[in-house]
Amino acid sequence: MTWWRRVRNRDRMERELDAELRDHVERQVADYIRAGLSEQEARRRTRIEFGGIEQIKEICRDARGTRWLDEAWRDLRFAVRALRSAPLVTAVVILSLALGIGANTAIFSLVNGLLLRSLPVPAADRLVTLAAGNTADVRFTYATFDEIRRQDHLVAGALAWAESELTIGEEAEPAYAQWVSGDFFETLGVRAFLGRTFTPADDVAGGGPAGPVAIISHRLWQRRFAGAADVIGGSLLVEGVAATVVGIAPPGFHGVRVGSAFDLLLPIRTNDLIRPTTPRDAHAAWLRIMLRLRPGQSLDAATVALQAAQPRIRSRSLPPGPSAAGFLTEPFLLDNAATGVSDLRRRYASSLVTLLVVVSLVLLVACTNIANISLARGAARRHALSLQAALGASRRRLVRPLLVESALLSLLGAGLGLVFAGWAARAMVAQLPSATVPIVLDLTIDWRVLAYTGVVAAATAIVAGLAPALRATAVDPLDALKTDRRSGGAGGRARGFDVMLVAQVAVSLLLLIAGGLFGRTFQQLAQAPLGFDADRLLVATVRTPATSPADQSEVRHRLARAVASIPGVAAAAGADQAPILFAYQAFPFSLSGVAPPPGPETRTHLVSITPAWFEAYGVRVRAGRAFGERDAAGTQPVMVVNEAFVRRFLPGQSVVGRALAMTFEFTPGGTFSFEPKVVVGVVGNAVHESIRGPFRPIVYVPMAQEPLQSVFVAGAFIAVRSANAAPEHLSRSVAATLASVEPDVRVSFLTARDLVSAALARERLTARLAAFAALLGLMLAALGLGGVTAYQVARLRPELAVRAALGSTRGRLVGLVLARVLRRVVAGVVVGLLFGLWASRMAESMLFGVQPRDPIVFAGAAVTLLVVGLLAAWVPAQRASRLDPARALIEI
Amino acid sequence: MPETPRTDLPQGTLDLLVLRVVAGGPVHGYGIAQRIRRISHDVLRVPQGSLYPALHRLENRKLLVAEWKPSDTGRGARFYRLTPQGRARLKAQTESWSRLTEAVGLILRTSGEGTR
Repeated sequence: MTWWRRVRNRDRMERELDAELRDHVERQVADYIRAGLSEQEARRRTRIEFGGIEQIKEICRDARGTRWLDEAWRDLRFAVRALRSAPLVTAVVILSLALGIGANTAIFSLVNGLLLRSLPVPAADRLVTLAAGNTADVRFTYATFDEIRRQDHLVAGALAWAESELTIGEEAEPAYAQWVSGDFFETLGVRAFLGRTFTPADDVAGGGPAGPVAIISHRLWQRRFAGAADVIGGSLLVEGVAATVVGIAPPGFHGVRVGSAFDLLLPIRTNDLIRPTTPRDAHAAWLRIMLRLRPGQSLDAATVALQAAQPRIRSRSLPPGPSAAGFLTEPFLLDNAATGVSDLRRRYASSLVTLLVVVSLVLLVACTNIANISLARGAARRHALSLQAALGASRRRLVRPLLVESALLSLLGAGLGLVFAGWAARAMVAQLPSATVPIVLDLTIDWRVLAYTGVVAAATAIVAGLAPALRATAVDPLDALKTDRRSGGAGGRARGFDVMLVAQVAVSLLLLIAGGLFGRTFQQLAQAPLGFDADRLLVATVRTPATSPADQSEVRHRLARAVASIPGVAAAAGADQAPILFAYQAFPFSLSGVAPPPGPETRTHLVSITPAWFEAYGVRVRAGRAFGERDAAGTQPVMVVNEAFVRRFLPGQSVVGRALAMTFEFTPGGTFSFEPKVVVGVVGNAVHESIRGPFRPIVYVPMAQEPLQSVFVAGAFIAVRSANAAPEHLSRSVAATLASVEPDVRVSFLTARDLVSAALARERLTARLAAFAALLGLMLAALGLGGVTAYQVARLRPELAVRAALGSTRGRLVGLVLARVLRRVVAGVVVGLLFGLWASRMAESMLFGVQPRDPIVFAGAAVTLLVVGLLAAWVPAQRASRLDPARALIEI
Repeated sequence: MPETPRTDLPQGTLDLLVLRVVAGGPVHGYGIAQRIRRISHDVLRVPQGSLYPALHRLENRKLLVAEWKPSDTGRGARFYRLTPQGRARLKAQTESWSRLTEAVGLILRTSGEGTR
């Protein structure tokens, strides 16, 4: 603190020191005069005795320990003055640094929020997820969870959870809910913000002593209840059922799933109270399980213990019926879950890391620009620097002001970049649409983000500053004695510029290649055949109310029929799934009496639909017929398959009219065999789960015959094909019609176009950011090329003047300058192409419909860069030709 | 520029002398120099190049405090005063100095007799 006070009092201290020494001199002079000397003689003697007053001051400053501060202050002021002397250049440099550092920080804060940040719970590193076998995202039954929890010698704790979209309040506001086990909070070590957390007593079938209870998020509490404390103990309508609010979750706690934030939590076993239409008994496989290891317990040790206990857990939680055979046969596996569970992470991890590399390259281009400017400045200051060196300044003393200058630049850039990053990161998250649950990511700038930005800024300062500073200060003190001031070291080769230029061109070429590859990927995906007609198609997500009759299939048929009769609707049909929006995973599949196809991959989708579904989606019937009203319950069981199904399981055979007995291995629910069904039609391939993947085999069954409720439970989807108008215009009349059929129906709409667009969000974001980075890199490179060319023109002025005087034409002078720059650009393009050929394979998994070494992309990038490079160099090169030889010669 | 003060005195000695003079009451830099010279009968002359850095060093170590006060000349002057730490240091250093000079004196006397 004291040195800080000294800094503050610096001016006063300086004044006092000066006055003190002057006082001494005056007293001495006065004494000498009193002793009889003339005033002139007295002053002379005093001055001789006293010595250099400035030297004494310097030693006094040293004694006070503020000398380094004085020097740092001087360097800083010098740097500020140097930067202010070229405000435009400085502004451009700071802005390009801010963009580079800001983009880095923005992407990193996404990486941090999604990949690195631990769950905000104590000892998050001891949380693990439970899986069975290598299948991602296995769901367990409550019976299994209960058995694991009872084996309390295995691990320190266990929790189970599931998620669903519900409605709350009288007005049926949509809300994202998580069903959690009674010991959810205790296992995580999270306390309620207000009220209490759940206890195992709340999580029993039929509800605990308090009946159905709920805990709401801090966000919902603020939004819906304005933070009123009397919410606790009050009741909240959930799916029309009154639940008691017992607690409020702490702010910033969004559950164990990263990327989304729950609005409310409900105990798992109260599902049947809240949603009687979709009952889930102890044997419904819908839960995800997380465990907490004991302190010091390793992941491997816990895995071994759990696998040892697996036969016992399996036998005690075995479901009744035929699905028991394949139940929990795959071995338990544990995985670290300190950072929570996230689908977003799986989808975006590689994109984010790639983007981080891309924006680092942009920053590198910005760095080379600054290095170029420093080099040019260093060359201009060469005379001054050699003068300083001649006067005895050390190399360190010469380098320091130059380094302080680049440090100041990167500091300013980083500060502005942080502001820009906060905005950009939020904008990017907003770009990730999700058809259903809004994405919530903790993007707070924490120590990790700050450290990252700090390291990036420091690296920038060093890359951009150190090399040019060392180069500029490698001066010969003898230079100071030479009279050549104007051109500095005109004889010195500008090798620094060459390296920078080649590197810059190479890096911006890489950025162009990346932009091209990701842009092509998005374009290819956007044009990928869907197999259905996404235009004029509206998809309604329908939630049938708790009070409706048990027969969901009947309700869906009635709803679809009613919608189909609305004027302006060409066709309407219901289904248990909706392509892209909601698809069950494909399961391993076999046909009895048919040899299994070569290769292990047999996974097939099973979709339950009402008549006219193919018509509504515009899926072509290739052979046979679609379903009709005649395919009702109790008639001949029928099915329709797609072309991929035929190609995979019955290649080259005519399948229409054949009866097939199929078996699905629903994991972990067990094996399920269907009675033989007659194939009545074959339809064209259509996207079901993902636009990216290849078309999978699909089996369609009539909902009237196979409502599939025994296996799956979900809301229904009604596809509405509009006859002419834009499909979204139909939503009002469709909602009204649905409400007239089922008064308490809840419905939300999405056009198929929006769905497709949302499904491509990742590719669109990657493509846009890569394109933005490529553009930025190109712009910065052009700026740098132009600047270097201008510098070269200034440096070559004497030579150009001589040539002009000797009769060189304007064109030849321009050509001379351009040739020099172009050689470097071509070298950079070659280096960039070679590096790109090597590096692009790393992005292969993220590409679609384009090869990592796509010749069009590579050639396009090279040509773009050459043209832009030529243009950037052209303008300053033109100036060379306007040189007046007479004047230029005089200046030499 | 010279980094170390040119002085006839070992550094610790100058500090001790300054502390001793200042112990007599608030005094400015010129006064300190004059008093050292007068008391030592012109034997010890403290060059200004050493005195002021010594004063600032002692102030920095909180052995002295300085105060800007009006003086007899009409201009202000910087008056130095001992802090409690300064007083303690003076006492300790005076003792160790006496011990040192006594010991050195003893050695010089005995070895002088021995060689004679």
